[in-house]
Amino acid sequence: MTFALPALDWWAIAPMLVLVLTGCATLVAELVRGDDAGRAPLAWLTVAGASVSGGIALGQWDDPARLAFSDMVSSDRFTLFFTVLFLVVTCVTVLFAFEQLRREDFHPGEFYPLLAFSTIGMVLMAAAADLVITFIGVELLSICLYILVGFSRRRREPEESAIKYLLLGSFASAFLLYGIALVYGSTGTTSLACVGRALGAPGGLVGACEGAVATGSVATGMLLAGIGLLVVGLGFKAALVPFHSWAPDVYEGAPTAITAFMSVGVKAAAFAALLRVFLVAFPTLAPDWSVLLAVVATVTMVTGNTVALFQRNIKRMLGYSSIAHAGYLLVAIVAASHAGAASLLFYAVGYAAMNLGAFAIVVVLGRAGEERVAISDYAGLSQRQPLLAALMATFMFALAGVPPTVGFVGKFYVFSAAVDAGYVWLALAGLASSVASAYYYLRVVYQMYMVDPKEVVASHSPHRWVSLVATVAGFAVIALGVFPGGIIGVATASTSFVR
Amino acid sequence: MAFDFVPILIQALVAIIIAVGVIVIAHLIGSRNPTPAKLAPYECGMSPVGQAWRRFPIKFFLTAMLFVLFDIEVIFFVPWAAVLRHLRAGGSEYVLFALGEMAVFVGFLALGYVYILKKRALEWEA
Amino acid sequence: MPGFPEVVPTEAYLGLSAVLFGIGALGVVLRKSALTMFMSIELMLNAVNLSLVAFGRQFGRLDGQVIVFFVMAVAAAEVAVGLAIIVDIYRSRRSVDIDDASWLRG
Repeated sequence: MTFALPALDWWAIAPMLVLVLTGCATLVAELVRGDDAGRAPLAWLTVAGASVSGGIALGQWDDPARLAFSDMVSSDRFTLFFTVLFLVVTCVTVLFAFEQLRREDFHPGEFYPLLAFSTIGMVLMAAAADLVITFIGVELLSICLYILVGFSRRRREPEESAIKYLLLGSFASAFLLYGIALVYGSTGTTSLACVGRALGAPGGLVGACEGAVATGSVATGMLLAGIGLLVVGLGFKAALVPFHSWAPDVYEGAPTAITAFMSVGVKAAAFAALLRVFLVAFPTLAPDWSVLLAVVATVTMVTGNTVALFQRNIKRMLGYSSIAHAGYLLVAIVAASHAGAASLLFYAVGYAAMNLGAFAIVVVLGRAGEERVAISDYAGLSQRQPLLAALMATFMFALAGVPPTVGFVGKFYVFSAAVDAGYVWLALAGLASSVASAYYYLRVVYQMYMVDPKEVVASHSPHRWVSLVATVAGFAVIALGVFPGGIIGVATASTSFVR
Repeated sequence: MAFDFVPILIQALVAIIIAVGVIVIAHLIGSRNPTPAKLAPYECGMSPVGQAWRRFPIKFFLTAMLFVLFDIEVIFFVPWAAVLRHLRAGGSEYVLFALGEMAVFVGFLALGYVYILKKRALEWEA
Repeated sequence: MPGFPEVVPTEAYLGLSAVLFGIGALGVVLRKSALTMFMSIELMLNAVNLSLVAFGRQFGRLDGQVIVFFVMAVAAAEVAVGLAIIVDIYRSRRSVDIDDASWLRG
């Protein structure tokens, strides 16, 4: 028996390698400087590593798309697009966490390596060319998050968030794995492109496909069961209704920095994986799964927006709002077209800008020992902090989808892709529920501008970096709303593998 | 189909018969001379005190968890060892490749080991 | 002897795997102790491992077993983190009953 040495295309996974080294370096640095004063270098080391990694990803933009490491990961513009998005989210999370953890006087150094490793998990999910890599990415992300969710000096809430997320998350992982096993059993391969070829999809980047069954001889019943289980497993990570029950509790209990990370980064990663799996492996079965996903999307949008109406805690409200936005993103996958995939990428960027901005304001307004997350805490904010109030209002309008913000343009692209694919009713349901969502977003604006402050609050030192994030996000929300062309062009180029 | 498991069934029956038989025969022909020491459960020479279901020091859990992690990681040595013999036939380039791969893997494990040592997770008297 | 195939058919393994997976899923849904729920999840993962090995043998390829290696390593990491969180909860409230830990709504 002889083997050929596998070709090691290190450059293709260079952004991930840099992140691995960053995670290990912060781990070692934390051992060397274990005191609290040593935390700032850890934060900067993480940001620096993420910047180098992002720089490499940008430099790879014109590299030819290819599969690497025995067809396990794909190095293409889709991967690079999401890599850069995830790295921006990670850097912003570091800034949030640095402020918040220092304020809480609880600053374990493990936070930074765990964050770096969970970012690698997200990149793997977007880069996966094989269902096994999807599974490993999901698990790497989730296992780090189980710990990060429980990070706090306060014991009860974060602890319960952690155990709830852990039990339900591992439960969903088991479903994801069973789905992968059934897909493997019915097609003889776990490579996404090879599954697609066995189902008669036109080729794209396809590897060797040893062992895959011949085109047309797939055990269909088992395959459909496997697809259903994949929807359960990935839908859980994306917080789709009816697999969303963990999300509001975890979002409320976790530190605000991690809530922001999860509601933006993890969600985008789950949709990147969903898009890869469904549009590379199962495009020929779109008539079978798109109706199922359309129903899930409708239920998700309606449930998220309806329950958000009754929330008094802003983190919980943003949690339900992020469920509703998962519904909008799923509409883009239902369309199963190139335009739909591009609109998903655009919406992911826009959603990152508006949601990270909103969470930045939540972080800035919190203080040591009390997070101040009741919506009534925002009463009269326009009198005390006019700039913060204006930014928060911008983010609320954007989340509600009011022009000329990115929220409006993103919804426009997503819903028009659905209409082009023949899902007019789905687009109408999305429009109706997003009109209803304006009520709870604008309630925050109403509190800030129309209600007098209920107490005199001592002014506190502004958080430079977090305020900077909020300002940049505010500009991005408007700029992308007025000039969406650039990002749309990039998103279209990144999804050229979708036919 | 149904006959596939007949041997297993027979084996299970034999096992049950032997187990039950030994107990019954011991009861029938054994002599009985109970003393308190003989009636006490055997516990390695220690006097049995309290219930078995009690709280263990948290240290047991910590060590056990770390053991599980490192124990399972060794699973990746098995396929590596299985192909190493074939790789040797390919010449020094192949052997270097195999050693390099394992060096990276062991390097990450060693980093984890150094980490838990430095964090004093393995010191019993903390 | 008639009716004595050389090997157990793949369907038998798949059936056993589905039953084990179902038992595990029921365990997660019905039991209240976090530890028991966690053990049920491990049962589910190992049920899938049985499927993967059975498929691999059916195709006469090793990739099913290779996937199982990865799943086992991932499951070990999950167990370590899970036990750590459960021990932490037990230390702060002397119970791992999931109902005691559900003051968060929903």
